[in-house]
Amino acid sequence: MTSNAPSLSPHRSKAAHVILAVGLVLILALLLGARLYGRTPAVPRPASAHVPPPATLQPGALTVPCWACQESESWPIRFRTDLDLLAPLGSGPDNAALWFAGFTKEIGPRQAEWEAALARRVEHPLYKNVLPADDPLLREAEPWCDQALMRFYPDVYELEGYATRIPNLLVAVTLARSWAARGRAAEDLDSAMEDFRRAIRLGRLLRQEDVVILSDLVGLACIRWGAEGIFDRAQTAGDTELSLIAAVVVGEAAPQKLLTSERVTAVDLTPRTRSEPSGLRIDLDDELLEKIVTRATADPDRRFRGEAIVSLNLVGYLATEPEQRERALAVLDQLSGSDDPVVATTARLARDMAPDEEMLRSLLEIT
Amino acid sequence: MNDTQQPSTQLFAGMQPPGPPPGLRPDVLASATAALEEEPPMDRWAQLWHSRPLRLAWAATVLALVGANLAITEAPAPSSARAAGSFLRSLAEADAEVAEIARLPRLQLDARSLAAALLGSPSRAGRQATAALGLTDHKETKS
Repeated sequence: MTSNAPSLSPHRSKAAHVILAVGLVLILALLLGARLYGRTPAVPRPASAHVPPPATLQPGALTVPCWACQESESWPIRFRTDLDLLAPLGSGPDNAALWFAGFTKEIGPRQAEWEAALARRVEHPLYKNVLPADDPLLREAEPWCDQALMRFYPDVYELEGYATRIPNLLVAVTLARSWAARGRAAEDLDSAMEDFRRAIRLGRLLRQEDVVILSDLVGLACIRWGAEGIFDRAQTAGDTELSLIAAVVVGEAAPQKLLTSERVTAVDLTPRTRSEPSGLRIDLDDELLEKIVTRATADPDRRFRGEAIVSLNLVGYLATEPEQRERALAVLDQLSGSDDPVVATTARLARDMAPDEEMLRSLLEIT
Repeated sequence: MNDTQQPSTQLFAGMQPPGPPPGLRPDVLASATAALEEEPPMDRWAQLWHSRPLRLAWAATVLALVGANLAITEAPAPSSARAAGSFLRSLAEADAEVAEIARLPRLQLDARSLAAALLGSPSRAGRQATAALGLTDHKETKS
């Protein structure tokens, strides 16, 4: 009898086997769930957002800013007209830059999709190349333009001096043009206005961060396309007040672009850069250096401060006068302690990183 | 009474109870041996463990889960994007459409228009040329 007793025990111990088998399945399932949950989605989805209606124009509140007057020299290069009168930003809490990051050149995970979208573009008499009105990329992008924030630095790209990345701005250009074109083609006035306002909101978001001049200029163009559309449709519809607001906004676009050009040219070191056997050298007078210092330390627009900081970097390493080099590097050192993290990081990199002469020769077309 | 009444043992002295059937013992022993050698009835755990369909289902589930875990690849996080090129190079290589929008006319800050130069000229010829261009009012021209 005792020899038979062990034969009963294997059946009783199967509970442990079954529990182990089920446990293995559970562990694998939990691991899969956790990885799926924590995975960065290739196509992020924005939070739902509310877009308020345009603000009401108060009597006497609309003025035509004199961008040609001397007083404009101290203005930040921003719309003086309240753009909420045309297209207030949405209330979405997400960072719209996260969506645009997917299409970053060279490294964006959605480059192939973007190339496919480029192939879908059709010619438009006014806006050149636009996506078809029902293109899925337009639908996907729309809720992102209802967000309240677009911030690339440092949320998407790190500030790395000359190696700093910028977004693929052709995406924004194509989207805004496509919405403007669709708005002009829409029979329904509300749908048309929705598209024009979306283009303006995208432009406002692009200008919001105020770090890169190129992004700012594209944002300015987006706002202009939307405002021009509103002007035309409102005028046709007999909405004089709305067309008047749109006209003032459109009128502010060209001066801003010209003044951007003036501010860039004022600290441009290209004409003062020459090639010597020992390398590139910059000859500049002290007056220009002080103008660059003032731009870097006190300009009301951060993007122009960044531009001047790059100029100080060139002066700090390439100026022929040692005193000017010292002055430039001292200002960069001072700016590296700025409260503005973007200014501080840019200045620190400019102070510590010598410019790449080969790249500069290529850019400045110096042999 | 005593003679007629005999003890029962004596009455049935010649009788014996019937014995078990002759084949009973080996039959019982054989049955008992067989019973002991049989597997005891399986409990629920053992039934689960030995169920062939359940085993197949378990194996398929494990294979599917392992495959799914292996198949998941992390999408590249945009925030970890590192620069390979340069900011200025990016500007230079910007698409033609973007470049067209962002192209800034290079202004010559020291440039003066001819009319502005004439307006500032103290000479009579300069004032006359300015008036001829209609750049000053009549009163000023007369003076």
